[in-house]
Amino acid sequence: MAERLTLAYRAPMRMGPTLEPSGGGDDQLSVRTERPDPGTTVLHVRGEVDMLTSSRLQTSIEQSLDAEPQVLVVDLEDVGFLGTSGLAALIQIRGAARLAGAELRLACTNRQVLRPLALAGLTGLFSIYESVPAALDAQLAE
Amino acid sequence: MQSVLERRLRLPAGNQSPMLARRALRDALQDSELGDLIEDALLLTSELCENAVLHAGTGFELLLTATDTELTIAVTDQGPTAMELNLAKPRPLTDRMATNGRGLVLVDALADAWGTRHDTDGHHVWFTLRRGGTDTAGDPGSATHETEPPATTPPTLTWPNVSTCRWLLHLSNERVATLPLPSVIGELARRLCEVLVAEGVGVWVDFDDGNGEQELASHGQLTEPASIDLPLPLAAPLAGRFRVQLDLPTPSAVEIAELCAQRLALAIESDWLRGADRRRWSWMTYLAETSELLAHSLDVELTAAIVPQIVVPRIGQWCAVHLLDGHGQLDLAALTHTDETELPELRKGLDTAQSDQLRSQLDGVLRGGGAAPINVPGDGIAVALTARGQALGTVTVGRLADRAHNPEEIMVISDVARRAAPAIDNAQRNATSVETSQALQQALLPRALPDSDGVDFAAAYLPATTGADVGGDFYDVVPVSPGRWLVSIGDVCGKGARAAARTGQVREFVRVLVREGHPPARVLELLNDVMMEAQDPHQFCTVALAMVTEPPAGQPGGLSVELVLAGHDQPVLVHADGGAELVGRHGTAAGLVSDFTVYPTHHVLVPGDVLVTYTDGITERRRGREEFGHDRLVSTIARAAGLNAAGVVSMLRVAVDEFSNAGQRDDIAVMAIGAPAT
Repeated sequence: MAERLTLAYRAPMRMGPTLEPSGGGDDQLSVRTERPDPGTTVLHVRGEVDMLTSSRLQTSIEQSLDAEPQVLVVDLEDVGFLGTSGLAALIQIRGAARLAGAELRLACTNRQVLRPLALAGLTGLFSIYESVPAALDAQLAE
Repeated sequence: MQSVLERRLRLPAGNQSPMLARRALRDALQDSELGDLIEDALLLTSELCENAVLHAGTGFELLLTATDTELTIAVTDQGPTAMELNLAKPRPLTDRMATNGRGLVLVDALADAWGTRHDTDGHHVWFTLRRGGTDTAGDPGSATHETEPPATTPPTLTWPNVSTCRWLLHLSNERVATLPLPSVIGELARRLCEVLVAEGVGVWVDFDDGNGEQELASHGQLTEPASIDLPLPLAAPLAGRFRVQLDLPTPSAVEIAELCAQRLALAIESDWLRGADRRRWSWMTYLAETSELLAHSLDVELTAAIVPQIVVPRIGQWCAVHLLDGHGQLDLAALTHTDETELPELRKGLDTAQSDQLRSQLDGVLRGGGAAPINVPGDGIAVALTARGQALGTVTVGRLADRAHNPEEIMVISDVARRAAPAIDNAQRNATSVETSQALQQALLPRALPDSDGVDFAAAYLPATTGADVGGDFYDVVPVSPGRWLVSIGDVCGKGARAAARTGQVREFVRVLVREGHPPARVLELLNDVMMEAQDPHQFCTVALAMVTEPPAGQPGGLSVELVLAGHDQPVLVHADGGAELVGRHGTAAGLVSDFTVYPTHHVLVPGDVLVTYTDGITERRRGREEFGHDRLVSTIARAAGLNAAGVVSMLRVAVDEFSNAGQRDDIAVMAIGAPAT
């Protein structure tokens, strides 16, 4: 009986993850999409976000809004560099998410990402959580 | 004691260069005392390198000098104007184009000292970070900086030199392909701003997407009215404006702005066309899939039903196919709606017999042969289905949930119809050809079996239900003389109209020879000779002939049968008192070899006995891999012992039917001859 309960709990988790190729000829940036439940999309971003890759990040994230998630978590923990183009992309993504009616949450503790956000005075514009589970557990803001 | 680290790196004007510069810097600083400065150094270096790649458009050199307590990084490029102008009027951070020009604001905020210099080697931008230095984040302008006045700006503007003009207009393809359109436009606008020493520039474009004119880029300060206000030379349906704010709009400045407007228009148009191209490509894939689906269907109803399945919901909320019937009336053949609960209402609305308005609109489309808007039963587009110059019917597609169809979608609907029409035409013609062959076949079978007191005949013919063509099975009963009959059953190799024609020949040939008095074995020999003369290895047939003779008047009942088999399956003789057996002896099929041999056998049917002849459609009837087979045939017929000929035939039919519910691939003919019970 216990085993069946575990399976029932885990089943929706197995819908993800799907691997999306980053699309470019380099390995600077990759985005992995996970849908733990129909209303939630988690994007794991890995790599460096600069002039070359920021538009790709923006496109990947904006495409994920097509699935009309209520909550969009962008995991930036494995981002090794975030330049001003990346900041601009995040601002654009924030606008796109708002238009699509999705709540955008960033998951990140690393300095490479938090420092530029702070320097640009953008920290207050985003809901930033210490981990993906923490971002997922947060209540929907109204 | 201070150790000094120096690294020098030359990088091309490529998109990868900032990343390569970051990598080199990380490697150099990783194990040094300056590790805690890495993030800021990376951030600032990357900005300077990106600026060199994007703004100067030249290769650049990175020079790193580090001691235990501070590090200095200098980036030198060969661009025609100095970079410090970016700093002059920083844009608000939350703006759409915020990224442009933000780089040096960051430098100003983070660096302990920074500066720019212009000399014969090119433009240098440098910054210094110190351990334990002042963290001045969020307070731009607090760092010490040294800036020389830009060298390329003449006091009164004339045409700039060639390399400046080139820089003004040239962005490498690599850059254009990577950057989003607003960045490209923003960069071009910024360059003009610098060359003209303008107060501000702005670009507005209407993409004909219903959103009106939108700001694509702006830089610096613009006041109304702008000193230069130009329409962008864009091709319809695009339109746009380019505004420049200048203290002194000289004629040269206007000319340069016009040149720049053309460059901007080029970038905007090519980006828009790339988008259009992507959409076209996805439509092409969609249409190719449509063709493939349609090509696999040879059934009219199925083919018609595929069309709405393809169209909904991609290019319409609902879709219907009407086909012309034999009297030129449009009948609803297939229908789909995104919302199934709407189907009954929609079906009613699409009944041409009930709506004169719909009928006249669709008739108009049929006559016009193209696509036309309709408004019954809802707004949509109707397209004629035309194949080989003949109208077949119409495809009707309801509008999308939020808007009417755009011209591109109407083209795609027309394209779907163009692909569906030949597929429906083929399916219709295939159906006609099957009907023709079946009609031909039926015509070859005797209309009615002879009615005789002395012999009990019964027959059944079941045409194949799958496959495009009919087989060449036949049976016949010929009265030879009073009280004597020749029963024939056979299977001509091949299918379709040709086999049916050959079947007719074989049947007539047998009739004539029998009437002339030839015994059955001789009839088959002659048939073989004739078929051999035709020299067609694909034309042969199996035949069973049974000469059935009633006993002379006054004798007890029963029948005498002379049986000859030319390659045909052995008939089954079922005895009135139970039991059944295969009878007759196998001979050669007719039309295969000139060395032809058959073996006549004689059988006596006592009253109640029935002799059952059949074609191999029965024994080869399949259920998965299993065949009906001879054993099952004999045991089935044995169970019919005591029934008359018609009873045996119908029992056999039921058994064959029950054996398998798969489509019947071959024709089945059964002919039974019974000796009437007394």
